[in-house]
Amino acid sequence: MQKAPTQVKVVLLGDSGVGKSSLVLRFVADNFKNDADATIGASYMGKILQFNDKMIKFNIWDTAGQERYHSLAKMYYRDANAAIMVYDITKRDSFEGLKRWHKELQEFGPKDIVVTIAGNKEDLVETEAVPQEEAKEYSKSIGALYRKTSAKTNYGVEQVFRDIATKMCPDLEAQAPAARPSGTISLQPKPTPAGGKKKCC
Amino acid sequence: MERSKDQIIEDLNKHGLTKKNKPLITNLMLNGPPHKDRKLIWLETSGARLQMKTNPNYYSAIVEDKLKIKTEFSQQIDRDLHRTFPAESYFVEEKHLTSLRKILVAYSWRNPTVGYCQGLNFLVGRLLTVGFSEEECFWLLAQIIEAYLPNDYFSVMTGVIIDQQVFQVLLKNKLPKMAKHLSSIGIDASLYTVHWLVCMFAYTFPKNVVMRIWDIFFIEGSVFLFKIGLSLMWIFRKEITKITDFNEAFRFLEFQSQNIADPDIILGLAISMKSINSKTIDKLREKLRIQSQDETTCNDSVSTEDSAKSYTEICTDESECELKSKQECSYFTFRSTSGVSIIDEYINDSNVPKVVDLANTIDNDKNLVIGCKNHACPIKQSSSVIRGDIEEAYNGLRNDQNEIS
Ligand SMILES: Nc1nc2c(ncn2[C@@H]2O[C@H](COP(=O)(O)OP(=O)(O)O)[C@@H](O)[C@H]2O)c(=O)[nH]1
Ligand SMILES: [Mg+2]
Repeated sequence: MQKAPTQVKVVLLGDSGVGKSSLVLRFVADNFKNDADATIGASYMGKILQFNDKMIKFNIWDTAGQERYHSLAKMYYRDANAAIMVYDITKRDSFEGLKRWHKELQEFGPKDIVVTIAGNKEDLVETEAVPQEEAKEYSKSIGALYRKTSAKTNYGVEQVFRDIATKMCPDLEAQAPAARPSGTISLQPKPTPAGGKKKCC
Repeated sequence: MERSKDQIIEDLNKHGLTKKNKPLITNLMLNGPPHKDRKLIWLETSGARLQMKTNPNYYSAIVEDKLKIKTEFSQQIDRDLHRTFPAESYFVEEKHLTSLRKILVAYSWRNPTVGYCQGLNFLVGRLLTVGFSEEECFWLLAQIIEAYLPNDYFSVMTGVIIDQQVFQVLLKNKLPKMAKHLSSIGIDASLYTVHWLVCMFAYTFPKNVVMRIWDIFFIEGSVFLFKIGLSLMWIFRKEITKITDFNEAFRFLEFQSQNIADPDIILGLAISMKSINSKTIDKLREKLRIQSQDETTCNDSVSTEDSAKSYTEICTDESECELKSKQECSYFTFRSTSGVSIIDEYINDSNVPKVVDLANTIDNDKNLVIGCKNHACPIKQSSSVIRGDIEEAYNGLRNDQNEIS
């Protein structure tokens, strides 16, 4: 009998409209809507990913983005294992917004939370407003992982979650995801060097 | 004694909400009013029609003056237009989205302390689908924010956090087993009540259920939101107490709420909860607010120098008082004989209430109103008095339904 999957709580943070809900919908249901409901409060979805010898269940909490909702968001990230901080690569403001989110995470989040930055709407890369180097630099400076994503084209989405799992359990050998009909092939993440947290393995 | 529906509506239309007709209206609302009358009843009971009468050109003037100006709020509104009930065909039509935008933008100028808060789009969206005109929606929204809900609900949202705690207390008292179970799996009311409160269930339930809830809400006030919440939990009590996973419990609640199709059960339960009234809620709010203030010592006291006119006239009698308490604005409005003007510096300013030097405003208008929601006249003890006696109206009407325990 297979062991019960390891549970990982992930919370999505970031300004309103950057595509948090869309990323979750893509990851969980492989779907994209041009218009989905604005998130009020938070929503929850779960998804299990198979790694070679292990299953991980991501419990994903998606939150409302408007700044005044920050005080309500605490409830959702208090005991999270990982946070995906999302910005819209075509909106400078949303990148600046990450600093505020990060500050709050540091203040109210768990000490050892794994932080990932997702530069979303990669499909609109021609109108990119934040140089990738700068985003990478910033991610590094706060010890966060970084990846570009597109909920629309399904670029890098699952990878964000695999990154999190690998970071949390460095000895996880990520299993190659089945090739998708779309032809999108995700790169295998390099197992992050030592120093990773051994929380879930 | 028996009066026909039409007579009651006619009376409301002529005289507004009175002590006499209120129980009758309430009774009418228990089973849902005839749809054609719903609009009139909401406008009257909420005080929105009075606002419209008193401020005839207010809405059109704001729209004309301000609609085209880009602000932080208008940008957020634009982001949310297409994310307002996107599954409903009504909101696919561009003209309806334009109305939604106009109402929300206009309100952000009327009350810059609130500006725009995500969730208001769902409130206004629901009002629009009932068939109200833009101006009617605008004043209904103004009444909801300024007369029905605590004044920091949509601005800094402290009011929402307090009300979540209020709900948690009520749940503990009324459904102790369930409350115990939920806390044993780590679920606090603050997780699942955000959209109940912020959208007054517009985000939670199907349209027909929401309309029936608002029928009573406009008469009874925000206490009814808590009763609906408790009723919902009671309906799901068996299922929820079986769920032992935190995430699943949350998901169950979200998903099942959207599938509540019959408003009668939940309404009936809520109406039968006679032990909770506005006073209960006000007291709890006050208590919890003091507690949370103790925790986060806040000392941004507001000075009220007489450089601005504050609105503290004493009314001559009770009816004037009632009228005024419905008229008064949350924060400020600047009316002049020529229509409405708005002081731009209020936008993006979080220090409210703010003192404005009248010398610096346009044509030293006398009608500048700055202050808090409930006017300070001693005749009217509290806003709950107006709606408080509604419990009596229900007495005898729904005795068949046992109170939840
Ligand atoms: N082009 C493009 N649009 C996206 C992408 N992700 C989300 N969107 C759009 O951006 C808007 C906001 O998305 P949403 O997921 O609601 O943002 P949230 O407020 O962060 O949850 C919606 O209209 C989405 O369709 C993406 O990767 N590419
Ligand atoms: Mg969202």
